[in-house]
Amino acid sequence: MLCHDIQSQLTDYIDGTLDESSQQQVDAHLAACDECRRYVSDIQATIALTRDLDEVEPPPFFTERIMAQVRQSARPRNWIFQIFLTPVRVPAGVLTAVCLIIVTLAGNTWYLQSKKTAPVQMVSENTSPDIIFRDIGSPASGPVDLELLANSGVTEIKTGKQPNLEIRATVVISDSEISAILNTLLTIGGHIDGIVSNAEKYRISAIIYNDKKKNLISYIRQVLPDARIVEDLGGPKKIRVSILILKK
Amino acid sequence: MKRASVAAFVLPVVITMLTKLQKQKNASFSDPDAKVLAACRKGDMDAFEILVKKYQKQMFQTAFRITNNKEDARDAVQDAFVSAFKSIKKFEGSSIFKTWITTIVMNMSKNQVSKRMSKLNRNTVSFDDYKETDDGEIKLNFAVDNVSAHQKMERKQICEQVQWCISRIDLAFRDVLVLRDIQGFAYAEIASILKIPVGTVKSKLSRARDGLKSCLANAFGELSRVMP
Repeated sequence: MLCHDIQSQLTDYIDGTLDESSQQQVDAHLAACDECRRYVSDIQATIALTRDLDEVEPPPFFTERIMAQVRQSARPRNWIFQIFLTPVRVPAGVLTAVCLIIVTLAGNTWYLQSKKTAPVQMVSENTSPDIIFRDIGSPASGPVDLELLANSGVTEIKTGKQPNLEIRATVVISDSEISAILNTLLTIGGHIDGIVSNAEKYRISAIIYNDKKKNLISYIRQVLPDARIVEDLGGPKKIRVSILILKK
Repeated sequence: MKRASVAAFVLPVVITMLTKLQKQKNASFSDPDAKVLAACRKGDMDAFEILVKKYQKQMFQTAFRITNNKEDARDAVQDAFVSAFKSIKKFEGSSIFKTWITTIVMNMSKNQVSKRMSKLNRNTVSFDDYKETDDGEIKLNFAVDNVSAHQKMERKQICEQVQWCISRIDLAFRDVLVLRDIQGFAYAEIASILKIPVGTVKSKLSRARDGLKSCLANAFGELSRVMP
């Protein structure tokens, strides 16, 4: 028997699970082969070292910890959790189709919504403002209190996207006159979402119903006779209005 | 005709049930935990606690030898017992409880190793992880390089070294070594736990022992010197 021949039998030989005749053959080979004898001896030493390893103590109160987790897992769940956490087998194709439908519907709704009322997409002004605030009122919130607005603590000017109606005027105007304009905007059902006041200008950004546009324009002509309409694009039900009053 | 078709449906069901009963009967003869298991199947928490008390230490040893980390071993054993309790009604008794819980612990331990490996983004160091010294001597990075040091080496250090070498064995071979040489399972039991043929158990064991021997020889030199 050659060294190569006994290799496949060594595991059984070492573990004592080899049949008698094979064991005698391996014994005979080992008696004659130093190399194989050393190999077997080393493997036996390895096994002895492995079996002699110190026991590792489990952490304290290990049984209690395990049982606490077992008890927790056995506790009946709230029926809502049961509904949502019970696995449901759904074919992948159906799941994909449902996801696609949801994504398409959501995308469509979002698109239509964004077309209807343009989201307030704000951009920063170049000049540093003294009074800045946004979303300051709606008809329900009553007259605009400029002092309150001035103390609102907002530090960044926000204006809306391209307005449907832009009114510009270059006048000397007092805070009370501005307050009157803001209150009128609220009275006619507008929603003011941005205003800035600094040494150079007032800028008011608001959204009003399109059918109130004429009322607003006639009012502006009364209080700011020199005001000019830069842009009047009309628009759907609601339009964005920008009133820019440059101080002389 | 009608009777024949009824028989065709009923017979396989009856045969399956009888086989299942026979399996349970066989297992209950050989499984020392059969009575406790029967109580567990009825949801008896105290009965399950008896099994936890009986096997937690042994399972912790197994898990620790696989994971080489006490926290991971703790988590693996806890998860294994929770998992066992959840599915104890499905445990048909085709194997004894000890073998079954060991299977679960092995799987959980391997999961812990995989998690830790992916966390650390490190791979198992092979036995070829040698370092060449100035003298040209090749030795393992952790090796103790002189005989006197081996002799002085305390038992604790030897155990640590052996455990370190075990943890360096590829996970696919480590499990067989732990089950055979540490837990003392028979080849057939290991085959059942790992769901591999007995022949594969033997060949894996041979390779694992060979790898461990090389690692220990590199660390200790002559193995007979440190043999218990």
